[in-house]
Amino acid sequence: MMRTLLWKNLLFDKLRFFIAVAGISFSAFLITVQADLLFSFTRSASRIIDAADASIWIMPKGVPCFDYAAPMPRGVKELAFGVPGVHSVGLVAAGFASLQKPDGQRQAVLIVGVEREFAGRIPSPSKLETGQGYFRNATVDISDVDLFGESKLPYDVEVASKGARITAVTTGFSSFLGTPFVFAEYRDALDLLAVPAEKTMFIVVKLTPGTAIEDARSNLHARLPEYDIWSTEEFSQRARSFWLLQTGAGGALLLAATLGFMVGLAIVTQTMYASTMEHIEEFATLKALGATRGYVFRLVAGQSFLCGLVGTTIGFLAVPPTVTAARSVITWIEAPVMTYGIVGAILILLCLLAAILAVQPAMRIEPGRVFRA
Amino acid sequence: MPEPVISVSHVSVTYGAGAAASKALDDISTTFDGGEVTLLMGASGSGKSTLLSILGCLRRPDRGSISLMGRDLSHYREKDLVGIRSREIGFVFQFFRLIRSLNALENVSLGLDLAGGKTKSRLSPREALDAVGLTAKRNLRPDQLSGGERQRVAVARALVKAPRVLLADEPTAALDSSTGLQIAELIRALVREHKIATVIATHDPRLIPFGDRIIEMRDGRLVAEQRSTA
Repeated sequence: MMRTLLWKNLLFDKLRFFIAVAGISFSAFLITVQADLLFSFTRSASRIIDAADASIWIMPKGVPCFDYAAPMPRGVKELAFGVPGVHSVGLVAAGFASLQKPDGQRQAVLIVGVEREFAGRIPSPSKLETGQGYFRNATVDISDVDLFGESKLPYDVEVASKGARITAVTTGFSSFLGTPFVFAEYRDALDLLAVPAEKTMFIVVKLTPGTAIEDARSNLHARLPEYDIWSTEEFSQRARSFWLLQTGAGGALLLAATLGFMVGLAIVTQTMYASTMEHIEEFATLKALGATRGYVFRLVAGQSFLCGLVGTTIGFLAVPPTVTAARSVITWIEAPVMTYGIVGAILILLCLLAAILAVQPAMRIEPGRVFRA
Repeated sequence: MPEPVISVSHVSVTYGAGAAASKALDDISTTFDGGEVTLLMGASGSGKSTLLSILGCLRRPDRGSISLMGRDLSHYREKDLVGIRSREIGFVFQFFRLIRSLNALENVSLGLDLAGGKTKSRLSPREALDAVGLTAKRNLRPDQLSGGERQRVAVARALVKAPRVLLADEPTAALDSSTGLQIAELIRALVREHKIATVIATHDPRLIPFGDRIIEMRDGRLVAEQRSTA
């Protein structure tokens, strides 16, 4: 009987049900898209760090993220190599450069070069390209190809008065700063950045199996006190925090996500509260007729759960097409399954929380009021 | 002499406190027998609804006691009083208070459902609707029924669980005159048949012929009592 009452109460006033579901759908949509933006932004902020095959990163003090690299002596590599627990040491070059496109226009880019053994998932021309062996081959993300004004591979560009050839495109490394990544071999990257061979930007370390990262980090720090030494996870977190909390772009995004969450929360709470209060007299009647507090609670919670479930599902259905459409402008936006899970769980919990708040008057309602006209 | 079904002894209820305190019931003692229809009459504010609330275990008296079938309910926990309401007391309200989304049969079934199957129902929900003459309209929702039909559904909902006590608050006030009299007649016939102690709070003098006993209330007190000679 309760199931009948629950469904019939929900569907009795279809317009009201539609409004409640629409409110929750909008909230689900808003929160999910904002969460996707935030997630994608932070993920983009540390994408190169996470993709490298290394356990520890060494860099000049104060470097906040991969993008703002600073030069350091290449000789540090040898110093690091002798530290207990270190298996191998590699070099990473990174830096901004001005690239001249085939049409003569200039485009700021971030040149990235990682020694092959440490590249991990970071693209390199020799992995992907069609014209292996060509001097200064480079790879760009497919979403950034249009920025170069040329879509047919290969094509020649110029960086710091040096020629390079874009020979391949990759995916998953689109720029979030408006400066496309241009992946080159390590030596080519140094060359394009006009950095002398005795300098590098980062030194990456692989550990011997069984070595604790923290131990190796302490050993490296003792040997190289004038450098910042971070585990990959720490450096990744540091980069995300920098972009999210110390830049206007990240701050704006975080604020927008927070506001989106609060608006969504307010809509869901208000919707569920109003929906419960709509039936307050019926709850009084049920209590007078002998419904227990548990009965009333289950009824309200059940209605809220169903509203939340239907609304969230509909809201989620609108997210993938929106993200796909947004990708033409925000190339780095993703819609990971994880955000659906997290946002879905949060929203249904919110609906239940709103119902718990709303059910309080229903639970406290004095059944004796049924005798007052 | 048979034991009364329900009784109150020295019951007092005060609303508010201090200077704003208002005595709704003032030392009331009376009993109600099975199969007997008692009309509670009196002006608004005389304490009729408060007495119904006490009899319906919807609130506790500030002083005095209430007893149902010889059981003193004064010290019952709220949970137990809810159980008593669901199984042993039927309610009929002035504005019906049917659940809008449920049809007539489901509204009557709700009365049984809330009793948790622990009542020895003499009637099935269909039989209860038959008894009030609404067999053909069992699938209609309250908004598809007339006022009189809604009140019939409410009577069926109250009686389906075979309560010991039926409490009705102005059951005819929202109905036209002839429908009101039909409802009163229906209630009287059913409660006599099922030996239910019935208390009806009303302003409506046309109901007087349907009462076995008429109690007049004023300022929270029982000021007059009269038994029907019919």
